[in-house]
Amino acid sequence: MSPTLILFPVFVQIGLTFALLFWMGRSRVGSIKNGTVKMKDIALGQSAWPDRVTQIGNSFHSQFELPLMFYTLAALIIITRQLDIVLLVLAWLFVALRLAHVFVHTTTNWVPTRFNVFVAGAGVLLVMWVVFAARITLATV
Amino acid sequence: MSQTALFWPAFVQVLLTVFVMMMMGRARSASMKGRKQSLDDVALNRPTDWDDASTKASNNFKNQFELPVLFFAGIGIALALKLVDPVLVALAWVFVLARVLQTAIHLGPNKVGPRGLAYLVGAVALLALWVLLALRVASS
Repeated sequence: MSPTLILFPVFVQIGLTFALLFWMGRSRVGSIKNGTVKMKDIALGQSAWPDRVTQIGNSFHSQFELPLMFYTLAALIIITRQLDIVLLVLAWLFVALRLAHVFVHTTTNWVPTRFNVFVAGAGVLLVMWVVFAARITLATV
Repeated sequence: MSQTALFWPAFVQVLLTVFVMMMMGRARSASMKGRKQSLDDVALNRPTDWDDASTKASNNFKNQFELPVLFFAGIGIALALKLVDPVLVALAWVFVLARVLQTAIHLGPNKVGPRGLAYLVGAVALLALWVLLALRVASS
């Protein structure tokens, strides 16, 4: 199995991050233009954005937490050429759960559901790291 | 083209981050001395009365752990797969120079409009870098 297949879920996660970035930017500019917030109230990073804009921004920022461990693992998989079907399926599952997390975060933002989806993604990522650790340990023996 | 050409913009981004970190340290210690902020509040990152220079520097420092992380990841992948070409290198430099400009505006006049524009230029360059990377990987 070509190790670069791990990059396709990575590309989706990157695409998700950029989609949130542009969405956040558009909604922020929108709330400045329609006068909901003033430039001076946000220039120093204050939390003055309307709820909806805050939700999108929070979801964007959460893409720089767990996903970083996902990118790191993807790079390690490519370098060590240790990709298999289990890791690939788990990688797609992780990204699917991140998409679901963004969906909850930017719509109902119902915390119990958001939390469950987050924990499921974190669990999948942890399993990926454990599987990878086992693979490289066995491969070097 | 030398594969390591892509290392240099990443190195500049690292230097930028270290520079902002030092500016933040300087601004924060001046703020704490001048405003007699409680060390306990600072230690736990509780809301405290930072001066504007400290707030700007720490906001910018946090910024350096968002898009630039995707930049480092992209560069790592391009190097690992030996995909470095002049277009990727040019996009990487546009990204880093836009980040330097964004930081200069943020720590200086902090005008939100130009700051957002510099940010946007960097973001678009980075998105282009990733799209290119995806096309190369998909066609290889």
